Amino acid sequence: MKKVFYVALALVLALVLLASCSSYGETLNKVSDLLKQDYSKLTVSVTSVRDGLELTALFNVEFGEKTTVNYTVKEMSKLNIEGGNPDSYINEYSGSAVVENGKLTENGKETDLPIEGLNFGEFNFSERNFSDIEATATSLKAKVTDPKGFAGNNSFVASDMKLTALFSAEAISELTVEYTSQNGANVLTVYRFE
Amino acid sequence: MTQRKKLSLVMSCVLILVLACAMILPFANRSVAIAEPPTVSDRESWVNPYDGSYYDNLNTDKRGTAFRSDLANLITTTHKHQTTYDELKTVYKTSDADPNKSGNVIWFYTGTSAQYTGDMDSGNYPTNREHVWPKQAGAAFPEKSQAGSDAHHLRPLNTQLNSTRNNHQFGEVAQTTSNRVYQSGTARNYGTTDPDTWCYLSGNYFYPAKGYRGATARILFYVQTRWGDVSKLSFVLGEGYSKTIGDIETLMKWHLQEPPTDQEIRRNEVVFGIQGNRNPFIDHPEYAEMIYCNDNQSYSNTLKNVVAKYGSYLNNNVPPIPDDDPTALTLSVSSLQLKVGESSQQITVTAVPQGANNSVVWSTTDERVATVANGIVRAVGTGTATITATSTAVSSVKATLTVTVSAPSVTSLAITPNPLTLTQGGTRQLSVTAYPAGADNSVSWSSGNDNVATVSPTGLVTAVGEGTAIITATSNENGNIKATVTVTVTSTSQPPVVEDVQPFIDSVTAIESTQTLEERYDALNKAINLYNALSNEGKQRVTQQYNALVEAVQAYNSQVAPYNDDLHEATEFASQATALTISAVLLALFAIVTKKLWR
Repeated sequence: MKKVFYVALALVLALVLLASCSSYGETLNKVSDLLKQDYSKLTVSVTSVRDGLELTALFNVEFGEKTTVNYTVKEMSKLNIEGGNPDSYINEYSGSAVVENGKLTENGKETDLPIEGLNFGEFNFSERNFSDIEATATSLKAKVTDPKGFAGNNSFVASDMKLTALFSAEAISELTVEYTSQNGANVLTVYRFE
Repeated sequence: MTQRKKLSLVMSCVLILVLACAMILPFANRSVAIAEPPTVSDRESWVNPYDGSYYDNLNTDKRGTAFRSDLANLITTTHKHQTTYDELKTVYKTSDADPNKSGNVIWFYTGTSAQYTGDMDSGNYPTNREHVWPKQAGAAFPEKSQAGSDAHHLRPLNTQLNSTRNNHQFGEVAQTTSNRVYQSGTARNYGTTDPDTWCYLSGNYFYPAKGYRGATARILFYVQTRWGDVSKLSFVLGEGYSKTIGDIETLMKWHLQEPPTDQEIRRNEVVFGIQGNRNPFIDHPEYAEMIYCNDNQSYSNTLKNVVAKYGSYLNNNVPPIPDDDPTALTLSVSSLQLKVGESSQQITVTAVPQGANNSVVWSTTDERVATVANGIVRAVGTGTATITATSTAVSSVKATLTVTVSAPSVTSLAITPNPLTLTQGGTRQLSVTAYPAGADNSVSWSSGNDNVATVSPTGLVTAVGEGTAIITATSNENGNIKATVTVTVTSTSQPPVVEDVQPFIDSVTAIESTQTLEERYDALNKAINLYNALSNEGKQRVTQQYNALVEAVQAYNSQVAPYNDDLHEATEFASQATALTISAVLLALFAIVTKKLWR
């Protein structure tokens, strides 16, 4: 009789385990974990649109012993009364940087920026930060109800934030986050991993 | 039994159950072959293989809604078995089996052959059920019954591509890299190296790979005929939504260009065996034009033109006209005469033969002379350039025009130095600048008072007597364009005029009239450059205007700062994707942008 009790107890425990495996939390945790894996390439595209003006920052990152970052940025040109200003009011520039041993070298010159001193949080995929979650084995779509919590940054203000992730069992392939900034800009951030 | 043994038994059971649970979790499906789209027969060689009796009782003299009604009745009354949504998992094993690879199915839209076990949405390359007519979350028709589970309608498709296609309408979009649909979000596309085997997506339109365009149209014709009355489904020109779908003009074109493939015909037989009804537009492609060209809808006449162009299936499959590749192009103008700063009217491209694809890429031989975009030529500098329109369909087919750019018409003149003070007997050479830049600056000089100052035909002023005189320069090109300088003649020496500061003063004045941020930036930058080119003495003479310029620059910088702040904040946010394995790079990335954006 006691054996039957213990087997039944084991079954209940297993069912509890299975039930916990099937929640959205598992998918969110999976995406969070996949983001922490090593990848050989990463493309980050940031687009900000306000009043019809589109500004962009594009970063192509190749990881290795020396990690290379090729970047292209389109920003509004600011004017210097002393001259030497860009020809256009929107200035596009690009460059290449290498990160090695935590130090950044751009165009052959080591930067004096305190890279190692900078510290940011990471995206928080806790289920309480989301609503309207749609998850399959390879995709996740959700509204981000708490952008501050998701960004891990209490000073970050955004609205209408949505997140989409595409992934396989082994890797995340694409992560998209779009939102409206506190200034009213429509922001789209796309990560592509390889 | 001891407590240790009891605990051991419980843990063993849990372990076994968890392992069993793990074993049923989906495994990665790596058996994905390169897509092999079906061969698309040209219309001349295509022969309808269907010779059954399914349609024998139809009155094929009818047209439009009358014929559609009869056909709908036939495929509804013979639809004896309505497949369930779940049942499709099994149906696909035969209906969409790859005849060349056992255990694989062929994904719709791409032709990719993928290993298929019957499980949905599992593995690295998972398969699920594509509603070719978007179900729109059940708003168009029931998601998992009726049209939502009809085997003639739902096709096996890669899960991610299904999500990418989403509710997009069908249409042709530019076959560019940015529009291409990539496999599982990577740089791998679904097809071969032939761009026609790739899928594209732009705006609200999805463009399937070659070999699946005609098939897409025939599925939608079936859905509209079989389920259109039940769920109120109809076609539209352009974009549809939910119960309407488009673009019917493109769908009819695809239907005419791509006759039913072996895959479609094979599949129709399998589903016929299961459901009891057939997709009549595969067996009788001519039914589509018999119905939709004649049902008196807003698209009917458009579809008649499409059929006229691409060939009717009626009348024993009259061969269609050849594909729409052009053999030659002609432009609406063969040469252009423009002045610097001017733009042409839109140049139209006509393809030969009539109706052929007239899509082109524009280019210029010298961007310093003329640029071209969307058929509009803009004159940049004096000289001659050749503008070329190259067919996007056939790169060897081109048309050219010559553009000759001359100096712009003069709109204003400026004289330097201005004003001018001379002592009696003194001379000074005047110079004249014509605007806009590059305009003809030849002028005729005249003096308003030869007793005070005379001026030579070349602009040399000679001070004759004390007083003031107005010297006028009149444009030789346009006598209405003039500039004047006041010459003051004194009897004693006066401090020499250092230089002309008027252009700078004018440039500061012009700032006020700017409308857009771009115009304001250009005006401010011009004024800054003019100011910095002045000598110290010149700068001392324009202190008031300079202060106004500084104020305007500060106001401009304050105005644009929020735009960069948006990008600043967005990039900072982007760098937070993870703080672990790639943190150093993302922090570096942030540092780069910080340095550049907020200098």
